[in-house]
Amino acid sequence: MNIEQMIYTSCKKGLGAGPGFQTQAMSPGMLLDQRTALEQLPPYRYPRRLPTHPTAIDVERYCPPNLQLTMLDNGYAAVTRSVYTGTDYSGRLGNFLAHSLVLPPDTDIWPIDLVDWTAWQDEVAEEPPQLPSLQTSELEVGHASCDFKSLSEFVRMRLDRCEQLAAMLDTLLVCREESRPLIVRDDGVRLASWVACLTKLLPRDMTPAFTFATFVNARLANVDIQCTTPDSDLVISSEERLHRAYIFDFVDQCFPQIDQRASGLGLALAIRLRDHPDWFPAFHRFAGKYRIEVDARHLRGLVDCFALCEANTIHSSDLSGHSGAAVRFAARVCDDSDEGRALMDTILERLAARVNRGRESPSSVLQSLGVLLTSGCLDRPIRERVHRMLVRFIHDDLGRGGGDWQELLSACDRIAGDGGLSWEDLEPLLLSPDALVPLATAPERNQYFVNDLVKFLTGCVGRNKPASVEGRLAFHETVWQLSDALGREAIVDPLLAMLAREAPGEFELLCGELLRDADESTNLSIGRNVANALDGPLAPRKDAVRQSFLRGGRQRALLAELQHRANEINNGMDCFSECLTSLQTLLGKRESLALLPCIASAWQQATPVTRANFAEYLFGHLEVVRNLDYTTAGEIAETLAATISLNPRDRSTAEQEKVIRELCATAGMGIPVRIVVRDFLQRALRRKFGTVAEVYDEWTSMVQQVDKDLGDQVVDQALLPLLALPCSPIEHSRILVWACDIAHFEVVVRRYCEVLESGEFARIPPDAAGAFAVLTLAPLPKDPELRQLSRCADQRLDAWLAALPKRTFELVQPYVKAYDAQIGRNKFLEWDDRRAQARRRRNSVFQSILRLVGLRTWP
Amino acid sequence: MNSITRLLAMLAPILHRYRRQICPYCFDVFEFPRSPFRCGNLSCRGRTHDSTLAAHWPTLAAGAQGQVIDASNAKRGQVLCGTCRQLSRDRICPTCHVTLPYTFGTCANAMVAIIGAKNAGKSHYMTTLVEEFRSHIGPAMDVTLSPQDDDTIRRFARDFYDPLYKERRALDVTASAMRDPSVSLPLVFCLQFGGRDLFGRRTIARTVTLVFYHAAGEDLDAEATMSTVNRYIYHSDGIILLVDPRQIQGVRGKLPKSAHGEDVSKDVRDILTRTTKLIRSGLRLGANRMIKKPLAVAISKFDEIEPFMGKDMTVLSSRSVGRDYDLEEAVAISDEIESLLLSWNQKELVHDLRSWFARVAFFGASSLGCTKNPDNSLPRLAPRRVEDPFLWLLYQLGLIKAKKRGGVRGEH
Repeated sequence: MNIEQMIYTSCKKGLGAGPGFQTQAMSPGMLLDQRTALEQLPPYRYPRRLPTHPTAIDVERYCPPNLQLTMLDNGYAAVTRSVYTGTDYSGRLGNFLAHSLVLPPDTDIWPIDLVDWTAWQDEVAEEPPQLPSLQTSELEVGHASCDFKSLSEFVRMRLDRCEQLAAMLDTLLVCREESRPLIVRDDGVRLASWVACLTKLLPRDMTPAFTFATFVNARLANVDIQCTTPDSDLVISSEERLHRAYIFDFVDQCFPQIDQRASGLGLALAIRLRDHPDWFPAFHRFAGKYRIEVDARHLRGLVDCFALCEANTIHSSDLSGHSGAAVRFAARVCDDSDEGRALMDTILERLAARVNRGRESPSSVLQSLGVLLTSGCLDRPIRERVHRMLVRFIHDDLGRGGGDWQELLSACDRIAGDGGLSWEDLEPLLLSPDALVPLATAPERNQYFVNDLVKFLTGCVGRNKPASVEGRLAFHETVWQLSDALGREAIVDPLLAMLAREAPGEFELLCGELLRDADESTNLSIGRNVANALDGPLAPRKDAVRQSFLRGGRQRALLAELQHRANEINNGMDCFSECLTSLQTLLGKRESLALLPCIASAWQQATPVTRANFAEYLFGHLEVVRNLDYTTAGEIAETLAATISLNPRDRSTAEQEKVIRELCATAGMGIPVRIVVRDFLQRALRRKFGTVAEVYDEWTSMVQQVDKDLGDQVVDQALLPLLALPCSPIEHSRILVWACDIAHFEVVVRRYCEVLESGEFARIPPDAAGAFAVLTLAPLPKDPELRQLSRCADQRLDAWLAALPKRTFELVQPYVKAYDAQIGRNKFLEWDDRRAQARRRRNSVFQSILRLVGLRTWP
Repeated sequence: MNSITRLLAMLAPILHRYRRQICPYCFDVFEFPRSPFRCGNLSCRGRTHDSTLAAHWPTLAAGAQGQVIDASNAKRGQVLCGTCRQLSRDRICPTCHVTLPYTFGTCANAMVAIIGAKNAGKSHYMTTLVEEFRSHIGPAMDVTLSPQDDDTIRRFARDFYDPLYKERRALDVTASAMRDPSVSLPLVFCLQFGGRDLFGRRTIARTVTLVFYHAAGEDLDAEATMSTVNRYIYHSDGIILLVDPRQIQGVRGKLPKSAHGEDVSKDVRDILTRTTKLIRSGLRLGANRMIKKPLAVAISKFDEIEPFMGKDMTVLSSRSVGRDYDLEEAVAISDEIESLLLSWNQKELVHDLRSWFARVAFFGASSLGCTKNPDNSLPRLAPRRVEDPFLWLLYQLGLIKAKKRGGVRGEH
């Protein structure tokens, strides 16, 4: 195709409507759209520092020509050389001449090479010149200042140029997406070389290509590489440097801080230009076969692909760690053309060869192969080949035990993540016990290897979930076999623990699978794992997980959990009760019967302290307890009875008493003694006993023997009502003897004193009051305990007399008088004196009021 | 009456804020309260490439721009950036995303278009007009003219003021707006009128956002180009049409030949015809309606034709500088120039102007006050009467008052 040309300047006569800036001339094949686009190119602005009367040297220094590359529609490119021409036809300054060449898409010319083209127009002609269409051969330059050899020399000229060029290349690849042009500020003679370095190191036919301008006086829009001189008017402010452009200022030695995100591409290319300039022609021929995008990783892949394909000529270290980029590039271009598919085939061959020779780590290739498999653009034969390579690499890495597990896992993630053919085909092989079990049971394996294996299995299953039935079966079979080979603790426990963290769904499935035909120890092991999982990573949604277990028909796992918690009941009653409650709720009344063996087991293993708590818990779940065996139910009843309050007025324990009686009846056992005592106390407090003899008989018949502690409680509550019963001193004494029999004496003394000092004792019947008075006044008994009690009574007699109601006070006197013989003369006289004193005290208003309100004062 | 005027002036910012505004860059009409903001914090992490701005004004869109913030949360003319939590007061046009002048929406806007054929002296005229106004006319009339934004300051200094006033040389030829979009960017000034408040203290009585547009002459040579890059013409509030006397056949013969040969610019009537058509189609005026926009026709480079005119002409006299606009003098000058045009056989031009425009006045102005040397240097710089067309436009737009004298002619 022809190369068209056009001249734009300010002239008297041209193709425009009148004088002024217009297209002065163009070749006949120029299209209207192209002409319009060229007319809209930015004008050449000369620097203000140009003297008013410039010499040719001034113009050469201040106004270097601007060679600009612009991309037009349909793949055409325009190379425009703008030069400052001083005044225009009317004598006004500011004129320029822009001579443009429109290059067809497949022109085999580097635009920057045209800087040396000798047929550029530099002066404005009076009359529009005749511009012919050109052939490519007419653009060839004899000696190009921008060939690779010259550029290599240019880079070698200064030590830091290679590094700066690398930074500029990396910047160039990111500057477009950030809309920040790359601006090079250097001496005018070096600008074209910089542009040539930047553009000729990258593939020529990139889409979209990088545009450039070898001299700008102000920042332009939509030009990627802009060069300027120290004499230009371009203002480089800090804002400009930080936000608007990437400025490589070789004049002031000021360079931007670049994020080296281009994977070292810039440095690799710059070093090659410096050291091996003859590398580039072959590279560009290779790159010309494919569609290249402006992306650092893509370009890195291109370079590495080239290095891999030309491995005979390229140093092997070039590929170190970058074969993945080559594979990715091949995957990206393989559907574009036949060349792409051929490239893929070549890359696979070379990779396999390198791996076989040990020059490449399988794991480093693994991830890239995963990309190939998921790209969906491979032919079946290639796909199967890649597939086989991939599985072999994985197992090789597992076998070595020192592979990069994270990389393996992420590779598997990527393979399975995109779904499709790859993972379904892959997983039965990846998880096959035939491959993994021998690896795991090899004699040199240690625990670290097994841990890594567990991580690998978890990663495979947890992240990707087996996509096929075969994959899941393979996984379960592998776990079984590994468990048999290495022991359950080595494989199952850590695997379940990790699955619980990373893949609860698979955790449930595996638990269900492992419990199928499991023995007792396996059952307990699974129960322990389920419990740990529910107390650990799954704790926030414990109930949901249990529901999920039930929905999946994996009830056994929950029973195993309960059994485990039953075994551990002494370490955590709360966990057991929470689990039991949750399962009761989830299972319903009928299904809850399955829990009874666990409950009975828990009860049998519980310590007395735990049993107390457990019984208390079971008291709220009677529907469960009623279904337990008799022995357990009886034990529960006894435990419940041991904790029941003896206070018969405590209504809250009535239900408990009822339950205990029911359980005792169910178990066919007698009523617990505590309940009997409770009955006795109830009758005593409700004053159901008429005489002391009745009390004694009742106690003797109901209660055979009680411990002193229980007796203390009985005396504490029953002494006062029982002391209101006696009609004679002997009965009073008998009550005291009974109390001393069943309770600790200290408790009896304390309680007796309390009773005597209480207001209620002052209101006992007159007969009982008389019996107390006579017993107090009578000679001291021989029994030391009764003797001490009598002394206590004697000390409190005066106060008691003062507190008695009037009627009782009056009736006590004849009662005592009837026993004067037994009391003795002296004691009776003493009684009269004490009674007289008491009467005087009783007559005081203060005592009357106190007596009325039920208070006592002591003499 | 005076108090009412002051009250209206005080209310003007509020009234303007709620008026529909025209973007001086893309001429899209929008409701000012709904115009978004741009975060001005350079260290804001929300800065990103603004594709809308890049599509309209690529030269302004380099690098990351401040985040565009919706105006729905704006309070008292400012809004909080959601990313950096900084307040922003920079409004942008909702269509082209160019930052609007800071006085925009708070005062009246006056857009002035300067048009003319190639080499008519538009750039020189605009430069000297601004500088004369800032140096002499403004202080006399208690008016301040100042650039509004960085871009105006930079461009006015770089492209206009420095070459003409500092380097004392003629301005460069203006590139076509098709090739250099920055030519289409207006120069935005702030015109502030001084006054006194109710207590007699000095105050700013009124502020006007003044927007100057000027274009390369070749952009007025074709209708298609005009409708693409010269849309400002029909959006402007007033037009100054510069006529180079060398483009008039009757004058060209009397003048000495130019060092660079005779100009072959198009007839000024062609430009006028295209301008009229552009305004009519842009404003959708009916064929029978006259254009209400005031048009000041100024014969530029007047110093070149002064030798052929009578010395008692008002246009040659010194201007009368005072606080108020001298309308009588303007009318006299207009009559003189109109007579001159008629005497130069430009009857058709005058007739066309009177037929199409309801408000026309004629002036003579000399931007440089001298003829430039062949090497483009200037022997001296003495602008004369450059302010007359502009003051007449301000008067017609109601921005300045006329001096009260006996026998003032009403409508002109």
